[in-house]
Amino acid sequence: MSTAADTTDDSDGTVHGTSNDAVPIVHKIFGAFANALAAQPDRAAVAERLRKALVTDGARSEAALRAVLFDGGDL
Amino acid sequence: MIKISSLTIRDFRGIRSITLDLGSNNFAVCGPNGSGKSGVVDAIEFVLTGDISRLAGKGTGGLSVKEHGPHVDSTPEYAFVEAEVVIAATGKSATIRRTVKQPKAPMVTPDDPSIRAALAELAAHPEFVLSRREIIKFVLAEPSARSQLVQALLRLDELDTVRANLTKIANAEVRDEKAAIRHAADAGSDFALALGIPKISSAPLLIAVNTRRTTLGLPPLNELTATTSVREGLQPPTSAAGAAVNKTRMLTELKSARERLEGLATAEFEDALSATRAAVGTLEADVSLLQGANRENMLRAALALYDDECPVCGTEFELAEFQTTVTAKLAALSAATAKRQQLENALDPIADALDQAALAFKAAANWSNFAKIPIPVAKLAAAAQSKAAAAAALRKLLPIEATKESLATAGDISGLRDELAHLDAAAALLPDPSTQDAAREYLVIAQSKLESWRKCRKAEVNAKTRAELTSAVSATFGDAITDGLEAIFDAVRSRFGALYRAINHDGKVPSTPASSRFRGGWPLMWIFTAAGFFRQAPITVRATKTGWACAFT
Repeated sequence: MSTAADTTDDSDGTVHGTSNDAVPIVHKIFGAFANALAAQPDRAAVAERLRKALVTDGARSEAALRAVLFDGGDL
Repeated sequence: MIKISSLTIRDFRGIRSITLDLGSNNFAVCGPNGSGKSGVVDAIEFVLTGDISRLAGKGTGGLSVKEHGPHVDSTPEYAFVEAEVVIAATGKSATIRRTVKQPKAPMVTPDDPSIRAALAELAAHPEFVLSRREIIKFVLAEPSARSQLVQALLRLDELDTVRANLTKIANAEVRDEKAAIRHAADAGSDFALALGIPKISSAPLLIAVNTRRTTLGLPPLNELTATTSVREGLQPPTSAAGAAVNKTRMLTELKSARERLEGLATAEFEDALSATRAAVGTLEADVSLLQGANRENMLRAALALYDDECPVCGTEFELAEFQTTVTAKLAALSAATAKRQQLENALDPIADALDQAALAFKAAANWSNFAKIPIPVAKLAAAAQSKAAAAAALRKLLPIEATKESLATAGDISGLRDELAHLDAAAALLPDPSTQDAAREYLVIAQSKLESWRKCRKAEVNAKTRAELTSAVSATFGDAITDGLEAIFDAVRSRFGALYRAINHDGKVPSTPASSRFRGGWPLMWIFTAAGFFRQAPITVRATKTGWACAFT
């Protein structure tokens, strides 16, 4: 992943920000993690549950993550 | 992001009185050492957070905002900073005034909750002020420390929280998997013991079961599936079988105990014991190898038991740092690891034989009180416990003394034959069951053991699936963090290099001691802010010693 896309360069080297409301770093990393997990065999469903839990629902605790991992009905 | 329109500083740090009209733009302050550049940076941090980070932390010798915030000729009552700000996201303007006397009670006009919320968020993330030391540390970071550094710099605590919890879950599931494997093996051994067959296998099991089914006039089973009932079609007994049925069970279990016992007395088993004793002796003789194996054992346990702190010394560690440290130490012990694995492979079948013997001896000893006069089985009962303990010690391998002792006593069967003979004699006195009663009892017990075994096997498969899933999730999350943060590191370092060259005009320090503005953004913090983390923060970089300082709004 790269965050450099949020900035642009002029020909003289001046740097301009292009967005103040970009996706937070933690969400970008959660998204990259979910994508990598979904690419593994039979992990797509749990990857999407984790993506939603981490990015949308703000799940962080051990109990919450356990529920996401095991309560999907695919185990 | 908070944009600063103007900044008023009175009796604060090295500044007597100054008002800067910043116009919500980026700006830099240039000047010789001691001219007050850092005071401007301190003032921005103070008015927004009530703190001055460079007066806190290691090496600051007990400095404080109240004592060292005011100008040397002033007092906390008169020292204040006032900023007119605009919250970029909402467009709301406000004036924030903070005195050194009451640094945690800013006056906000108008007193808008959203402004105060923005200030509270900033106070929780004061890392928007970067010291020269932090910047240099960032630029010069070793590859192995980059992701950690970015995480610490940006205070991405959430990432570490999630990573630690995923690791905890994975470690717990791997431990549960090992326990489930052992339970399934024990249930399988118990099942085989009850059927009187060497091990669980479809062909001998069907032969044993169909022999009894034929005796009872039941159709033979053609295959053993996940739902097969070996007692299918069996009707309730028409008369009480009583002691006659017990005789069948007793003889079956005594026979199994005798077979396990004789298995420990074979030349093959003794050869295996001799070979592993020699291997253990070699390990023990090589002090460095033994120390390595001990150390490796401790490190692996520490990795598995990590719970926000080192399980050995209790020191708090961040997970990534802990894993990196321990894994590096383990890599240095590869010779010990190889030797350990080789020995574990040799010890496993011995431990299995001891476990099976322990189970059989326990079942035999349970017949002690069957007769009116108890039959002495003290040695069988003791052997059941000692063989199980020996098997557990062999599976652990370390401490090496326990393994040596277990190997020394593994083949000890003294007195067991006599106690089994007494039990055989007692069994012989029981009335013989009819062939049909014996067959019926056999199928009832077999089905009961079969169901227990199936339950344990199901739990084992489930535990294995959970362990694989959680380990994969934990590893993938760790990789995602490392990749993501290293990408940020590379991008920011590249941008910062361009900034540094621009400021220094190809290495030359600006000579004019005056305020000046830069046309563009500031790469280091632009990337962080554009990525969404410093949403409320202006961008502040601590003064350097090269004659220039900079702060940005």
